[in-house]
Amino acid sequence: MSNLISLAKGFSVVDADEPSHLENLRKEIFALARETFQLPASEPEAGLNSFHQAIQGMPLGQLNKQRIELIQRITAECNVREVVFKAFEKNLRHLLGPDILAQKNTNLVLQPPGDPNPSELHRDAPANSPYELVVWVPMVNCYGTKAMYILDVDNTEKAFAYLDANPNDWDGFEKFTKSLSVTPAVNFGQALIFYTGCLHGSEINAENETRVSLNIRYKNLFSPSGLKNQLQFFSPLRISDVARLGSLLEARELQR
Amino acid sequence: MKQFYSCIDALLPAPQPEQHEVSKKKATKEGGQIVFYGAEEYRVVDRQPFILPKLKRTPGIDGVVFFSIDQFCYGEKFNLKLLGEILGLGLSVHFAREDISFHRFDEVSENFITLSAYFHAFKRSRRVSAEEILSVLV
Repeated sequence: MSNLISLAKGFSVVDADEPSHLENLRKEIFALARETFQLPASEPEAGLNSFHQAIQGMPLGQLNKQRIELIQRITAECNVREVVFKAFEKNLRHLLGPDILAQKNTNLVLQPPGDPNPSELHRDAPANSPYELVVWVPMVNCYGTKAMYILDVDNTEKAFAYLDANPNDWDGFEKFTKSLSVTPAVNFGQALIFYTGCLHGSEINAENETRVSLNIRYKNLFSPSGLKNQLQFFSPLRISDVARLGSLLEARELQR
Repeated sequence: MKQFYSCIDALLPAPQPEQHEVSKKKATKEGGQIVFYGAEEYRVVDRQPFILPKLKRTPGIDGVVFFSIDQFCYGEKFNLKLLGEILGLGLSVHFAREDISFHRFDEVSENFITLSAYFHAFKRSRRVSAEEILSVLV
């Protein structure tokens, strides 16, 4: 059973309250990946880690088409938003309160060794809401370049101070930013929960295993939204009785 | 095939051709097609006076596709009254960008909390909100 975490620094690696939720989710995702990519392995951990071996030589266009198909099937069939929430419910409720929206679609990242397109240095907010959390959930143990790097809020501020002072030096900014970053190991059964204002990214995966990870965003129903349309991007996951009653009263008043 | 009226957003959060494309896609998803379209006059978007009379005098339509729920948020209050009146005509209401549909008013009531939260988030200035939070914390 995990303790409640602090997000004062902007991110934290947290154990699942109930690991079986993630184990079942991984089995489902692996079953879909096996169908989509005709993976030979039968065991999720080994099968996902060796994903790159199964797609060797596959044309990039076909790989991307099947990857999108897999993401669509995972979103449609696995109810990731609910399962991930249940796995980390205590901390997510602790951090966000009782009225919670979850991202409608799930993001799946498949990063084989040597993939030249890692996630570039960025932060989600702005344009996402700065009152939003990202839950990054690896489906395999992630470490070294197979994991992602992140800066805490203080170092993110330092990085942007550099950019403010050197607005035309993106390369220098990137180098300076990475020097301030950490790359926490996040094992299967854990998540990296981080605030959308933290700079983060990933390097080219130089390990011998494929990184398979999910990421999904949660926010409080009533917190300010970002530039992304809240109704387009999110839908309700948990609504408190107080909020439900309040909305019914408000609806009645608006019809008068 | 269902016949839909399309009402695009006069404040142009997206150019008109983009709005038409997204609305057309939503109509197709709902098993129909756009057969008429219109928009509120720019100066009265907060009150939306055009669409209800227009729907009443347009025969043979099954519903209306708005480009965005924002069109119900430009006034001081969320325009729930209009939403109820359109549904009261027996027409379905669809929002293309958000991919949301309502066929009966009880569906609106059930989901009103998300519409209300969206309305308040739409109206709230993040900067003002952050200043308010800081004023409580400091």
